[in-house]
Amino acid sequence: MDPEIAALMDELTRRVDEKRAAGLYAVDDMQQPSSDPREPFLAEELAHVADLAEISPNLEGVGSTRAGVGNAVGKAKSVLARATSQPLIGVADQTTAFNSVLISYISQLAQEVAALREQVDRLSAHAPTDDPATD
Amino acid sequence: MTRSPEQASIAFVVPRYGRSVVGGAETLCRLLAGNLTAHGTPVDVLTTCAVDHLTWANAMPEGETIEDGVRVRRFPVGPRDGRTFGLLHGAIQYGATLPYGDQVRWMANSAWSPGLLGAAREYTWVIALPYLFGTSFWQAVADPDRTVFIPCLHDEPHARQSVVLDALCSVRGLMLNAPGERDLVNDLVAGHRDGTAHLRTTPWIVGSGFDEEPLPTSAQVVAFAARHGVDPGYILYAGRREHGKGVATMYDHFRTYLQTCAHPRPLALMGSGDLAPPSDIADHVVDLGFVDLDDRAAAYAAAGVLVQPSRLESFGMVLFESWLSGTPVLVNERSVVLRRHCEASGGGLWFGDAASFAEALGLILDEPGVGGQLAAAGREYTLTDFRWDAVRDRFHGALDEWS
Repeated sequence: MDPEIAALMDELTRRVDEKRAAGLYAVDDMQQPSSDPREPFLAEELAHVADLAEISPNLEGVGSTRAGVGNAVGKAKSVLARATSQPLIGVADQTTAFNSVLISYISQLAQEVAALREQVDRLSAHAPTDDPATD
Repeated sequence: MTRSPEQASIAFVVPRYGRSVVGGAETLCRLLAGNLTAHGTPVDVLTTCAVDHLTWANAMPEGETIEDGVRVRRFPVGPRDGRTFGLLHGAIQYGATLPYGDQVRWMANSAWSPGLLGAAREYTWVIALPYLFGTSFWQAVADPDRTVFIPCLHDEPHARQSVVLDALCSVRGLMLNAPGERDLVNDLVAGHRDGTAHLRTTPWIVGSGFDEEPLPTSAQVVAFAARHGVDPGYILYAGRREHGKGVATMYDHFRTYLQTCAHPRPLALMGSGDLAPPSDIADHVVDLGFVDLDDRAAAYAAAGVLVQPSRLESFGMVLFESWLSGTPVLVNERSVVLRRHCEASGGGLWFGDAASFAEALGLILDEPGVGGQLAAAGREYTLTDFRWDAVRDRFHGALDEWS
């Protein structure tokens, strides 16, 4: 990095820290998060739903607990499951695609809600307070 | 200009083309094609008949024209389902993991042109840009050996899709715009296919170029500012006013600057777009509107600093225009491309939040000597690394190496 730029960035950091310590940038706390794009409404819940969107059938967990013949039955089930899995995998892929599109739609709604909330907060902050003396 | 028999034939492939087409990659294509043609390397441009990047309607006539000395061949956009594309594109943008087949379906419904694909086979080299369109993607699929990408890559979810990374790894070479874009490509490819993927050749940084222009005179600067009713020394934003460019964040940060600075400068907006400033800061914002090319250098020179809040830039054209006019820059630290330009040049600072945005403006605008020092360093970087002759040398060097 250019050494003069490094020195200027150090100076910038020092100024920000000093003024934050003095409470100047408490104004930051009054603002919406500055992420871009805007943080969607209920972002954590949305991320959780997105995590569940991908459907992948588990073809390994079809064992048997029967004494004695358990291993053999388990292996037979696994072979059968894999042999008949193609339609299941196709359905799972379609479900994942549908979920993905649905999440996209919900995400757009969540962004819209976040934008509307921001507008409401901003308008509320600038609305005149009720003053009984002026009634 | 006609091609000599020993010259390789070169075509640029771009989804839209023309002076009226707005877009970073489209502008880069026009500048590169025009400059190469004017300096002894005639190139053709293969593009679609579309102008609108949302509808992709075939608005221009099919056929051949000469535009600014460059032969342009237009072909109709092929059949596509815009609704399916929009849904899949949106799903990717919001973090969905699509199966490979749906990623292909996404690209199959992007803008592409079967006629253009056929015509591309007539050329020795096909330079396709940018990465995120069917015109480039299907060119890479159809004919990777003669295809070079100028990907104009952004750090965005679409760039992490397997089909995109497979296309990047399949083409003959990559011409990148900036050192920051090279870092991004390396990161993306390193994480692809469990670390087994690799590019066919080492990418070259080519970028766009600039000619040395004299700085605007103080009389030009004062006259421009007076015409727009603003004092010189303003904070300038140049570009489209939309969320994707970080403009809403800039408005938020500018509010903090107004609240914390004793003598704040106004924010001047150059360009177009629907994202208007919120009413509580609107009195401190000046709309310069669309500024003619003839006036643009004066608009930059009249500014005390150019702010570039966008995270998704693969080159940062406005930084160079600003530096050439003698104006320093302040960029979003989350854009690795813009930040690397500032680190390498010494031509600007970067911000990460509202506090560093406000303090950086104070440092650049109010600290004696700082703005001038940054501007001079940026201008020198532009005229050393991004002169047109240096860009042309890198372009030819890349093709020679990959031949």
